[in-house]
Amino acid sequence: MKKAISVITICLAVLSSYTAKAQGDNIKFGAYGRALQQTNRLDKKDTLNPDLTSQGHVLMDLGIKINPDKKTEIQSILRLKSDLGGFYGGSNIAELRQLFVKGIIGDFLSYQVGDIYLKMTPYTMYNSGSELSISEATVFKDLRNDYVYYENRNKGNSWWQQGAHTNFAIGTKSRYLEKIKFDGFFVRNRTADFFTQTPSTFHAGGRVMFVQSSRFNLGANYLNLYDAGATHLSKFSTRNPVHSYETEVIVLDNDNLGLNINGELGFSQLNFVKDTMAPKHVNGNFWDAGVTAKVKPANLKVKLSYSYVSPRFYSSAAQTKRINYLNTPSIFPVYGNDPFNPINRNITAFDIVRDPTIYNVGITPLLMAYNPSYGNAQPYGKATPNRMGTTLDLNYTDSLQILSVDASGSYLKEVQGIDVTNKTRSFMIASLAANLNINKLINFKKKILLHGGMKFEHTGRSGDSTLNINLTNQIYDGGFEIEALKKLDLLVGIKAVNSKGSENVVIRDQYNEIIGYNTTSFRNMNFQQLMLGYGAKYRFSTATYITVQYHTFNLTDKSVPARTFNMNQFYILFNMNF
Amino acid sequence: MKFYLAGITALLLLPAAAAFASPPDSSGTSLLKGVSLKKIKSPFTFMQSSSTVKLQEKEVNDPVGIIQRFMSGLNAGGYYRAYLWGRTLTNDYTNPASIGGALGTHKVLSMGDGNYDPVMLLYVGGAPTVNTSIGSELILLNPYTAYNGPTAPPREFNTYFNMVLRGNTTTKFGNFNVVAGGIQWTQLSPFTFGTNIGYQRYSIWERRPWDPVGNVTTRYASYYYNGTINQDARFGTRAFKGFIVNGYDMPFKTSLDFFYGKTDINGGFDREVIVRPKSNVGGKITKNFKNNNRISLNTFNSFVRTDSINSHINVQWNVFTSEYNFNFKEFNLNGEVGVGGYASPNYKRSWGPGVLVNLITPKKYTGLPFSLRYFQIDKSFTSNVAQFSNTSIQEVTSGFLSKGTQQVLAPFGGNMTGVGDLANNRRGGAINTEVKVWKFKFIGGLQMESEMDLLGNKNIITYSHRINSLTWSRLPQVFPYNNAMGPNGRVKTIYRGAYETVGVFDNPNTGDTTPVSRKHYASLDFQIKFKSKLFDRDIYFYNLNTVMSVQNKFSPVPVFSNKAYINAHYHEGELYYHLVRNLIISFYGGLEYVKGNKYTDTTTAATGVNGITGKARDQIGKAFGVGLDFTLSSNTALYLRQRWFSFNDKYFKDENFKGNEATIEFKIFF
Repeated sequence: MKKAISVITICLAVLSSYTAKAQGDNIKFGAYGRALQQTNRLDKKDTLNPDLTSQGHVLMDLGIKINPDKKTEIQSILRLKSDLGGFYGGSNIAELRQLFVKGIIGDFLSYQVGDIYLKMTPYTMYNSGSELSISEATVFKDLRNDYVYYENRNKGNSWWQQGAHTNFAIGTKSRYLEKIKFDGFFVRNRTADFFTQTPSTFHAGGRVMFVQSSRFNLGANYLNLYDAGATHLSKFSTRNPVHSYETEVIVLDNDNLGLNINGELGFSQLNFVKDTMAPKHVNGNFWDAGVTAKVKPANLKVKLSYSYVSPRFYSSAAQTKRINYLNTPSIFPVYGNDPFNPINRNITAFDIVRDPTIYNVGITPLLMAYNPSYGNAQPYGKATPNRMGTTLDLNYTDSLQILSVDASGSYLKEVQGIDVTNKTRSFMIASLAANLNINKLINFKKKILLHGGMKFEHTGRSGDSTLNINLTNQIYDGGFEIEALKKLDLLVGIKAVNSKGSENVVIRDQYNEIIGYNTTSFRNMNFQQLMLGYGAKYRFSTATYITVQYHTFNLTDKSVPARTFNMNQFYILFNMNF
Repeated sequence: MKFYLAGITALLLLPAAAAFASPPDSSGTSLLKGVSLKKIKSPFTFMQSSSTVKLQEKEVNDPVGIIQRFMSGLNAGGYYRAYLWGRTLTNDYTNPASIGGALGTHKVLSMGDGNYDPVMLLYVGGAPTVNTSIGSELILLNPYTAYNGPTAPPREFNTYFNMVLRGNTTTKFGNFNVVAGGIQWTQLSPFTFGTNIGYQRYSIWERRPWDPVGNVTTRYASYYYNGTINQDARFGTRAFKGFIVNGYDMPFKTSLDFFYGKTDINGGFDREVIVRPKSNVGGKITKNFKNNNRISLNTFNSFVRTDSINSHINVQWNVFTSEYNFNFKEFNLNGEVGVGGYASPNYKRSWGPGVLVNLITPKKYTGLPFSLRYFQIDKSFTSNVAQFSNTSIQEVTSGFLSKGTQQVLAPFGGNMTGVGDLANNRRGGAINTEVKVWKFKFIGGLQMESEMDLLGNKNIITYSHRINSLTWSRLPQVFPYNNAMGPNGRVKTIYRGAYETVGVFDNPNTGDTTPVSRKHYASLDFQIKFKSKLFDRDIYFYNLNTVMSVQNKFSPVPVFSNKAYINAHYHEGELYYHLVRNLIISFYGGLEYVKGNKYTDTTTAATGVNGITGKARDQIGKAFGVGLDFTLSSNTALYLRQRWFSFNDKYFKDENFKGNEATIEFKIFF
């Protein structure tokens, strides 16, 4: 009996130790934390607002990763947030921020269900970056990346979606085909709303990629954003299928030279099913081809490409903008002195850097509003319809990594004239970004970094006084960082936006059809935005820092002086990432 | 169209360019001429996949979530506290006359004590690196309201008070901690940012949410031997949200504290965006000497930001002080001196001094150990987060934009302060001592103080209902902050307490509450602590007596006659007996007498008993209780309390209630 008890005891002990170990291995935790206090001040010429606003919060995103077995993983993020102005439970929030399950079926089929990031090509599914950033200074980038983008779940050029994704690959023993990779996804874009008669919308698609080797592949993409018409009374539904074919060939790759060719070709449709008022089968297409050469001893990369996007190429997931220019800035949305006729404040560089509420996170089938002063040539990224032209990109980094330069130049034209059918706009874009590691230049241990960038954009088209298009935009970014004490950086930054000239921005209806032109809002513009930032940043680790910064912003509108105003902000950000 | 054709042609030609590409390996295989599935003769094989590795860049899905690094574990801890209470009122307390009716219900069966106290509190935190950490408290509320279907409000899961991020660094200039978020329970100095811990003379019979478990005898033994009981971080500190930097081991033996953020008075229950922000900035530089001697320079400031709508108002209070602590031959001298000031559109900028001197004398020189105190705080020296009460400028407590109303229910006016309490616009002194005789400890304290200036604001006196204070606070059976309750609307409740406001009508010229003389206060504490064995089991007895008065002439001791505007007595006795190994039985008795004189509120035909007029307060509060503390395990305990209570004012109609209440607290720490 004693022996039996001993055996049972030993078994239980072994089992319990195994259980404890298994639990420790199978459940892991991570967290992101932020404490942010912002104080914003508007100039005293305004009498509609209190001069000062203040907002702050502390939050912790608690990540939980559970691996119930070797082939399954559950990840969730619980958000715990408390406003700095709230005490004793006031304004505390607990919410679910992320939940997904992923795993492998049968050792080859990978799946993920729940919250997922999706990205395909710039013409099919691509979250193009927000405007007004060319080598942005750290003094602005910290707030934009770690607060604004994080809050909007922006990560690279992926779209944050909810649904399911699967992929698998088939390998071959042939030297002509290494493998074929399959991707498929199905996500929910929008839920039905009975009261607004909005249908449920889904997004489905996938990719087949034939990989001959690391030097050659050929892929086909397909995706479709579509309404489930039966989920609302009118039964109308919008469908936007896009399919494309892409390839990449590494022609040459040796110690001295690299040469590769890539291209993509695709087609789109925009259908409005059962809607008799809508245009039928709006078709579009695009193609893009380029050649990239690398001169390896010189660390130089040059890419020359040509693209063509037809006027009615509509690709929802590639053309949806990251910023919704119809949104209202969260602070000082109106200003002036007349309460019955206030000036609505447009989204500025200051808001783009600091305000997460102006951002857009949903893919929409209709082309969104944009501000031509912030990017008129390709407001919808590379997939901007009605554009064709050549782009030359150049990238250089010296061998000691003292200097790195990114330069780009494009000359684009409209494929088809719009408000003047026999004349097309031309667009010239030039951008230059450079980093200069001064400490490496003078052989100094601590970081001294000077970086900056500029983007010049001109839109032109001849015409009479209301049809003449002549818009010049300039964007400047500059930053200087010096590690004054160990891990303590002093930061200075500048961002400037100049816009002068006129543009007639198209007005579209609910079918994406052009129904007119805004010939007033963007005529005879002449304004400058200047943003300066100063601050200090202490880095506890690579992902954890505290920074104290002061930003000033001046908007000088020479065409409408009443729109001129000044703002500034002081903020403290403690950003912690595991 | 030509561009379209050109594009197709280019793409079709692209695979041909692959002819120049190398095959997958360099073993001299033939060149690839194109891709045709027909040419693939080998059977397909599914390629092994893994969910834990990052998929290739060209995949549609980026499987890496927001948080990229996970650790094996976080720190976790907390407690479960089921607190049930039931109350029966055999004689109701009533609402103010304008409302009428009973205040609350005759019988209450409830869970929790009405505040945002958790049924379960869970702390989670972790340290991503050796010098950074993050932590938060989660509150789980399950009020036992029964399941009412899927459309019913969910049971609450939220963050509790604390959510902080910490970082520290070591430099050649010292070690520095940065703490961001909150609530951070902290303090700076008595005159800048702190709370009064006094001489810790209070009843320990009633349980508090933050009381720990453990051996049931520890609590009562600690109070006898150490003069205090275990408290959590909230005791003796104040709530702060924002950013705090602490520097220590700095050059010249100095240390540094810097505060930027909000106190609970400046924050309250505001939402995130505040268009007229209020903030606090403070700091402290301390120079440390040998023998634990130190001196510091402190400041704490409150700002209400200006704006064009309100004509650029300037509302702020500022405190600049020096705190000191010196030890010499077992004598200890500590205190704080400085200036403070206030400015708002209603008050011209003014400054005034504040002085606090404490001298502790050792027994071997003076026979008994004495703690002597002198204090003087000017009427302009004001704050809403210091150790002293603000009695001079009401908008400092209520908020500038809420003047006239009392958003924060802190007592204002002639507070009847106890021994160890401080208030501004007062000058006074205190003496405290204690002696042990056999198993008895006798502790005494006397404090006398006078108003420094006759203020023309509110001629009122406030005193607390110490006996049955918890019962008082939850009489309305609502969130325990009530601005006016009782038939005469003069009782206000705060968290776990209640106080009453008395109007003073001693102006012979006007007959109203316009003040005519400065008020003088005196308070006396006398406490007896006893510990012994009964049937070889520990027995503890604590008796606390407080007598206090406020009058128009200085008196070094409380005035018992009707010359005092208000004379209040509080007497409490507690007995704890260690019945068996894990069980303690306890008894509690309390008496409270409050009497007013003819210059205070008196009865009218409407408010007096039987219509008798001209009678002042004559109140008596009584309490008797019995309780059990039962330790179930090292981290689990059960506490039962039964209290019978009553309150009666002899002359004011309906100023009475009577009843009993029982509480059950089940608490587990983990």
